[in-house]
Amino acid sequence: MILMSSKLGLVFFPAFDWAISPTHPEREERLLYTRDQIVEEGLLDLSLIREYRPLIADDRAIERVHIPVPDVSSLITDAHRIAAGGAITAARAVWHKEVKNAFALVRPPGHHAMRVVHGGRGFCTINIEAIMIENLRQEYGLRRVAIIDTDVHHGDGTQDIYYHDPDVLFISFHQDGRTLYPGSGAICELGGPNAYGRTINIPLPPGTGDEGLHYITDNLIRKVLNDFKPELVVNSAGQDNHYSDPLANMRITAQGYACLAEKLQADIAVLEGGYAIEQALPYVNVGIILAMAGLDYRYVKEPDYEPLQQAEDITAAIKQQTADLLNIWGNRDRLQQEQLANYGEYYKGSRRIYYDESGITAQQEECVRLCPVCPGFMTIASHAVDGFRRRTRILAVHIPLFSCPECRLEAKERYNYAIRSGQYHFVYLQDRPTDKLSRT
Amino acid sequence: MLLGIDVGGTYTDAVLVHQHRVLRSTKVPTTRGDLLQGILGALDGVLDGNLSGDIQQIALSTTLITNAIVENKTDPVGVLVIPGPGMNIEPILPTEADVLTGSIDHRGREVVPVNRTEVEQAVARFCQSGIRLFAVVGKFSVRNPAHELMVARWVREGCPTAEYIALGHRLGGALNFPRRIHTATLNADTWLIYQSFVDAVEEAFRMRRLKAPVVILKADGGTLPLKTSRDIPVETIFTGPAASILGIQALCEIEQPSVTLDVGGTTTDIALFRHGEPILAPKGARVGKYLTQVRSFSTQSIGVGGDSWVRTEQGQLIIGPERKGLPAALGGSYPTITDALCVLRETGWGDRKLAINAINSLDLGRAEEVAEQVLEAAASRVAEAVSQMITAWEQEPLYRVHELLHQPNFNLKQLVGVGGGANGFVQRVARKLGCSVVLPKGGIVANAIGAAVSKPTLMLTLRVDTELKEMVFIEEGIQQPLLENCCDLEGVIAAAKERLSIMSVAMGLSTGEIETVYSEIFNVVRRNYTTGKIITAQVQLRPGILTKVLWEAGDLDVQ
Repeated sequence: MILMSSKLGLVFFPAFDWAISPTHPEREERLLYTRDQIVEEGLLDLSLIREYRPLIADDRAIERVHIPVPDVSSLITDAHRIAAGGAITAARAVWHKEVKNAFALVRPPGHHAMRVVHGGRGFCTINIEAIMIENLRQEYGLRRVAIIDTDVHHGDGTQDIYYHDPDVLFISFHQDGRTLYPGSGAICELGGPNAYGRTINIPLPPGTGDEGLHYITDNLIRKVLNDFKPELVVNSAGQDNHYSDPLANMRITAQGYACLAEKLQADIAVLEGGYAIEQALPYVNVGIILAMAGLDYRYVKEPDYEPLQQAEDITAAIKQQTADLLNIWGNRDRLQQEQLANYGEYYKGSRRIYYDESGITAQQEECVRLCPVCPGFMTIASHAVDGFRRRTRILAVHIPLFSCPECRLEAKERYNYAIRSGQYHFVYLQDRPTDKLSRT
Repeated sequence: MLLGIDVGGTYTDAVLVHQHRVLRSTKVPTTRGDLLQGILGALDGVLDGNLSGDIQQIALSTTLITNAIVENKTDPVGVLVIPGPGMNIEPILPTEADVLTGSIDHRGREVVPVNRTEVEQAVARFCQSGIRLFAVVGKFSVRNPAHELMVARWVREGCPTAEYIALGHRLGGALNFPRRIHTATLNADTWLIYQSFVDAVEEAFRMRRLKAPVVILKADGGTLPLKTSRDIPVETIFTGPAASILGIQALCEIEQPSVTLDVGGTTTDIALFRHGEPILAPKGARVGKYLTQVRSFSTQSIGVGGDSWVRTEQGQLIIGPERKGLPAALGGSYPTITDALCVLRETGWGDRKLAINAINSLDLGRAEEVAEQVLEAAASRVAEAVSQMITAWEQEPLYRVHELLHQPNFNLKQLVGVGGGANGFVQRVARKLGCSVVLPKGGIVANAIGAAVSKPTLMLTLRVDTELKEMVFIEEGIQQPLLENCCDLEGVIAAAKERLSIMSVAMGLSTGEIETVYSEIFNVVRRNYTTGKIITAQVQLRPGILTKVLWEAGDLDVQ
């Protein structure tokens, strides 16, 4: 038995030979300068850091989260399997107490990938944090998890996967969706009726700096984390809130990110976005690694660093928002009862999803059983149309890992009914208690 | 004829090889206070006067530099580091270090200049305290050495008594600031010791009228002309293990995935072979507690050897790492692994009665059974270290999808044992690892044989700057206009190899395969525009052996 270690586990997989396309921001060089900085600093030689080689996630690992249309291998490349496998490797190292915490510095990212995958969206095809968490849950019985998404873009994929899961707290701060992709992540998105208040969105005004970031961390995120008492804290560590990021408008520094990592004390951090590959990533990543390893990060500084003063109206807006969210959090039980009273036995919702990498639009109808004893089974009907107007209709039935016998039985009936109806090209049963994804 | 000399910490070995045969070999004590005497003794053991003229090459290996580092017997160095922003460097700095302002970023751009007054004050302090050796190392200096060069100039101006200044960027092209600091510091703090070693060697050769070219082995099995090596002593660390690895290549065939064990008196050195070639340490050699950038075979030293002291503590059998003189069977006072082998009649020499007495003193039972236990315990330690090394090789981080998908397992097939304590012991290690055993004859002087038959190598560094449109052959200091086909990495590597090949022919060296030791390409950015590329390629004649060596029963016994 290996004793509790004070080490940081690091899975560094820059995939120097993989890109979405040659001119895409998600390309070979994305972590090249980060590699240069990490190697030049000598971080990989430190006895406090243990480097791991990522495993390669197989279909089963991925199907614990996703409904792949039509199947896993036609959607993803080996690089995606390695990014997901890297996150799983990091999580296992922490779970087995070989290291105290871990950082999966891998690409491509995953937080825009939702449960049903018709294609890629927002540079993401499969959700690597969710795959990591669901594999820990399946293999080791982990249940209660908190995910803090610190990417500048709303983690809509992760939110979708856990929206109805009362055992997962999902907190995302991001540049206000009215000014940035994907547009979602408003305060009012608080989780499904049976998991109400377990989704917390903190949209920040463009121009928010370290001051605002630490205000919400100290006054809101830490309070919510303390109350929720997760078994595991995961950080979706996007780095595009940095002041130099070309795709967003925030003003966070490497110091701000390192200090955030120190405050969050995440068990596992997984890299998400961040495309200032030369001016930000080398410094932000070194800062996060040092902070997670408990080392001195005071001297990490961007070459063009200048102290930034956050505008007063931004500070005021953030304070107001924090107060509103704290109020919601404090009254979450009452608010949840009100939500449940609005619905009968089922929650129903519909939305339109655009898979921008693949040019596919899907109309989805979601139905969740508001089970009094378990998270409740769920069906998702998805009607996708691609750029050539080819249509794919699928129905997915999801039985949660911690579901009750009644939900399991009813879910299987729905599955069989959908097959008999002949309405769908594919009908899926994601049966987590038996760890199997069936497709008909 | 080829002459190989291995100056070890305890013994100096010499062998004379002629046409696949070891003509003569000798083993004499190393004379630490007066190196000259020991070297002369070794020479006299293998030469008689009229042979000297027939020697074509003299090759050396030594553990003196490694020992000086490990035993902390090096000279004080004034270390000047320019870390810029990043990790706090203080905890890893050598004691006599001064941190300077200034910074260069990962693209080689100056962010903060160095401060002359500050440097001059630091140099004056060092100089007044009697320091004569300096090391100057900057973060990202391999991307832009301007700060190191400037500081070095101010050191020379401010401290006229300075004898040597090690510059980080000259000692290795790869990124890794802490390793660069240690490499430069070790190069400086062993510089004086190394000068006296080279002086003694040259004096000995002069006295015996040896005129053949003299080379010294590097840790990667390549060679350096002795004269050139004077300013890069750090390259000669681990020439001992390198010599032993070449010796093994000379004495036997290693086609299958193998592990070699050099079982000496105090330690067992482990190395890995795949496809007939020894595996290199991925980032550079570790010397004692220091991680360096010195290109080196991947070797590991375990504190278990033939003379390892065997004892019991609270009923537990403890082996090594201390050595308490000779084995009891050879007149020593303490039980050792060799004594255990002697008890079991596996040595073929030594006084078995003395060995039995020593093993009985452990008070654990019948001598034969205890001896077996001792060997089992020692073999377990070594087998475990071998397994860990193989696992580390298999788990070595990779950064490309293609590499990760096609990485093979090591698949160990055979164990090769050399060194005085190998016979009897290596077989037991092999049993634990489930592989076959080879014990090449002549393995007892494998080091000196390896040195003797080492293939002379030559290294060349080509640096191309496409913005300035120039190419520089660093070692020769030749600068010339950029050739058209040298604007990408492949072109630069090809040009470097071509020139190395021409130089080798001119120097009468067999060309053979040329390996790329190091290569890097990065963009030069000025005011947010990529204005050119800096491409560096370092190539070397692949190290190896000049000839296989057949050891026959009639050959000299060196026991």
